[in-house]
Amino acid sequence: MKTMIAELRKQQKLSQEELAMAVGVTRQTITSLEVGKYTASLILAYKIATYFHKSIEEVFDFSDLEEQ
Amino acid sequence: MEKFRKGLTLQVVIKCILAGGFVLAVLLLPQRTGHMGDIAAGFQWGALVGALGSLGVYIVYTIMSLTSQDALKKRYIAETDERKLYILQKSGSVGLDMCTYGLVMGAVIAGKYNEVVFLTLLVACLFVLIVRGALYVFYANRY
Repeated sequence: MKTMIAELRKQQKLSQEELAMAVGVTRQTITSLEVGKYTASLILAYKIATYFHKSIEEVFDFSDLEEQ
Repeated sequence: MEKFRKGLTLQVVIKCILAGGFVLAVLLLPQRTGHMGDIAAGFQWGALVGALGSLGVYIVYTIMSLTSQDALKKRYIAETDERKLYILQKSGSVGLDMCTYGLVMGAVIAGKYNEVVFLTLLVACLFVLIVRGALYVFYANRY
């Protein structure tokens, strides 16, 4: 699943480690989310969206699911 | 976090009990002599030293985590990371770890009585370890 995490993180000049600590996951999980390998759980998606003051739809791209 | 702290203490106790099983099996059961008996004895002592060594490292690591709030938080994140748990679940690592412990214990005990059973269990244990490692690497690369 495509996400806007990398863009939002770079806008706020955050490192992967800082974001990972803030939302309670490891840096590797943030890397996997950014490259689209791993799909976040609802709770993690909510935490990340809340951290960036965005809605879940603004951070995570659900267009692939809608096409299916 | 307090629940996690208690969980860590419980994990140390469980690992001590499992390592105690090794110590009892290696030290209390009588040892066969001869060519295969030497190989079996080498495996038993190697498994014992490995188990006790990893237990010692784990206890030191846990004590270091419990003494500092930052270290405890890092440990909590590392152990409850959802991707890591997902990979462990997909690769069946918990079940395979239990199988490995059972096979190693079986090999340690069988080494004192029957060499054919000892070698069979040893090869089965190696196979399970290879499968576990391969599955973990596969799913870690996939997710």
